[in-house]
Amino acid sequence: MALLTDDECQADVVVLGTGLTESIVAAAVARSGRRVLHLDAAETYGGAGRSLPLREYIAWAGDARDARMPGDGVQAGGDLRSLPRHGWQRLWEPFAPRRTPETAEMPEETREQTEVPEGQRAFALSPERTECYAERSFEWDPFQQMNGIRRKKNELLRNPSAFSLDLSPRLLYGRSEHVDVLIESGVARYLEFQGLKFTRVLTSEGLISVPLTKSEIFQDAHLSKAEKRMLMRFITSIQPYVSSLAFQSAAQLGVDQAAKIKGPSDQSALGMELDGSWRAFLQQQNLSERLQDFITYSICLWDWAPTEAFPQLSCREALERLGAFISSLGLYGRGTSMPLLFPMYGIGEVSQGYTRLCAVHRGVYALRTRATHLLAQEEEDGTMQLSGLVTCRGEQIKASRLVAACGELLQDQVPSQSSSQHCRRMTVLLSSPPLGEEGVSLCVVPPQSLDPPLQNVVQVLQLDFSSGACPHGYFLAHLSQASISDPGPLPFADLDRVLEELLKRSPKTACIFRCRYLQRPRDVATRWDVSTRTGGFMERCLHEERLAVVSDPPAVPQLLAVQEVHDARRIFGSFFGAESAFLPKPQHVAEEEMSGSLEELEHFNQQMQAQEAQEAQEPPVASLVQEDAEQ
Amino acid sequence: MASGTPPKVFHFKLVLLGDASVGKSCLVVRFAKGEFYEYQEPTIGAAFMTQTVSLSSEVVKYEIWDTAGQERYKSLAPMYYRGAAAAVIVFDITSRESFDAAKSWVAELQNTDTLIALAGNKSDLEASRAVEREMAKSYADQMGILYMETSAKSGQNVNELFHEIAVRLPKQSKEDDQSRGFAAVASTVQRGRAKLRERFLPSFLHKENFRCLFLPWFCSFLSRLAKPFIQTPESC
Repeated sequence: MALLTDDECQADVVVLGTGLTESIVAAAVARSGRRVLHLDAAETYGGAGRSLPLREYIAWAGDARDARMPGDGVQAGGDLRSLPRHGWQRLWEPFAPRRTPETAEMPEETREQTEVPEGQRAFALSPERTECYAERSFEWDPFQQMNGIRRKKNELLRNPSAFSLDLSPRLLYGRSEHVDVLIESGVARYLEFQGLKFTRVLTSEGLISVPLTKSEIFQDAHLSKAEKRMLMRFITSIQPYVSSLAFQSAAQLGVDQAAKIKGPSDQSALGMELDGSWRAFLQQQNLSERLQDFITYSICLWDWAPTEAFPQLSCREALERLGAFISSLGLYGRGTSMPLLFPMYGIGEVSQGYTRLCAVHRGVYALRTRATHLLAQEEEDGTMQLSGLVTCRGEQIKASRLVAACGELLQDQVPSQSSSQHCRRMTVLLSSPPLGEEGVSLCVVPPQSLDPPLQNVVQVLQLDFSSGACPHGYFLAHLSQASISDPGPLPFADLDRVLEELLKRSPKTACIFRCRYLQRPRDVATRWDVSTRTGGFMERCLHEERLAVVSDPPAVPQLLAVQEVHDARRIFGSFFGAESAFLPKPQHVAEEEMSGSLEELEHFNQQMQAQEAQEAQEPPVASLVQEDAEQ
Repeated sequence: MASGTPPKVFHFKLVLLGDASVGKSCLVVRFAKGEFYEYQEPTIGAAFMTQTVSLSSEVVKYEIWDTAGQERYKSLAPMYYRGAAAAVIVFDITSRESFDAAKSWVAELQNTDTLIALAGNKSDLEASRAVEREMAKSYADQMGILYMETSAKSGQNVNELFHEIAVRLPKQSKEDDQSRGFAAVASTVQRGRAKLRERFLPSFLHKENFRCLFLPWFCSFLSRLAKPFIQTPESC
């Protein structure tokens, strides 16, 4: 049964799970010349932050039967040998003997008794695999307004790989640690990004675009003159803070260094208390309600309404967010000034990019491989040391260090617990752009925009063909809302209302499918029960920095990838010391940059020569003309 | 440049797909460097190889991606072949299994804009051939893709394969997107025909499938109809 060769079973670091953070760690370890074995129990890359093609997405979200069609995979004129397995099942269903579900299900190999080598001990991990997504549901044509939904459905399912649907969509700031690491490590070479085209705010007056530059503020049609003046005054007065922050922001310094800096020292100019409430500060600045919402929700991208139950935005954090936003303005993309980047085909693609970097540096990859036991070596002094793990195929892997995604590592018979902060998500496929214009764009709905007010602010991310997420002529909207309280009976009511409101603006828009789910990141701290022997062992491995557990993608911020690189750097540093280089620039990237600039120089020289040649040719022509004239 | 305008240079991403050890890397190394090693060690740290093919009026610059071994346990990241202008799907003519794997790769990429070429590698091992040339050829014709038998060892057909891909690749700058879509359509007329056939002749109606699929179904249908009239021992 064993697949991996003996040689591959000897690794320096085993990584379980192919989420973004784990993949970055794997790439960094492989890049430093150590041997990595990267496993994932799932069939696809990306862990909890994966991006799925349509069929897999439907199977994940709801009914697996919805994703299949009779005769699936039978090719034109071909014979049935090319038929995939589920296609066969489908064809034989009418005359296959009836089986009870118990026998139909493939029993997973249970290895109660693992042969453990001399002097080692095996600690069982939980065989159950849970996800951080709950209450998933998927419906075709949820509003029952479409004719021919069946035809449309078949048309979409015929080419399911035209979709790349994020479970937890993420954007990157144009200038951020993450983008720096992507470029430095050469992973950016594998990926493409789309710049955000515009940001809108849905207010009671309609969809309003957020003015970002002086000229945009000046030309804005929605703001009153007084508001424009207020906004300009605010921007001018906040300028010194933000511009100084642009140099001190986490993005430029690296998060760990930025954490040491106390923030802007000169606070007297605005009379700002850094730990004070941002909302109070904005009120003090005499900004109108609407402008306050603009700044807090669409520029700072704050996820919580000013309710007492929710976390409050402090001035320090707001300035940091403002700095990150403003320092990334106008960096990438033609004609767009928006500071956020969407990785084409979703965030799952970014983790795949890192896995490729790891593989190029001899990392070994095996999906569909689960760890069943941790192995420990008994030392002379009687303590246990992590020595490796056993896979579901019974391979014994030797490794002294282990990185595991939260979902891959749970002690047997310990229930998984979730944190109270969660994110309600809804993904819909529409036939025309819900935000009025095509392109990757963001819309924020402050709670007061609708009547009665929403429980919390809603963010809408619109994606189209250009982002690689859906086929031509269709539009995806990811709606999300952070929450802290119990979901209640109707957790998605607010999202539905926002969708309805957006659809009202373009009555011809059809909603082709709707998928709803709760994203509940699990608690890393309760992956094991410390009072048991296994739990105690795992806890000690964690303290001795031989084991690192990676948390699920956070519920808040809903649409930003901010923590992953920082976490990966921390894990890598804890394993090999902070002085070892984290994803240094590879030779070929340096060479490419060099040759790129050389090419540019050459191009410039050629242009200059051409111009000179032209100039050299021109005078005789001119003189001839003159001579003609003289004659 | 002395003579008129310099030839236009086009950059294309080209990927190699196929089972492990069918000779993907050997093929690339043979093409890019003109070398062959019996035991090809994967190049550590190299993400791409580049090689240019000169056509009469333009130059095609390939950026060739290797799988980096991720295909070994069927764990190839989709990112690898995403957005590739061309894919060379390689199988080993001495292994029937690798040909089946190649077929599934063709199916995977069929509906994308990627130009597909099928390469039956190790043609120097004629003696232990397991996949007939005619069968592979007729399969490729049916799918409307390019087929060549290559040998990285002897170098047979390797440059020809990449040259033929260069000829077939639709060439236009990224600026004029509209002509791009148009050119892509023109170059894939053959594929379009295959698709048309697919549309007009639902696959399960094919005569090959009639005997194995419809006959049993029809029999079971008959037996279901007859069920109420047949008294089985249990129902007595």
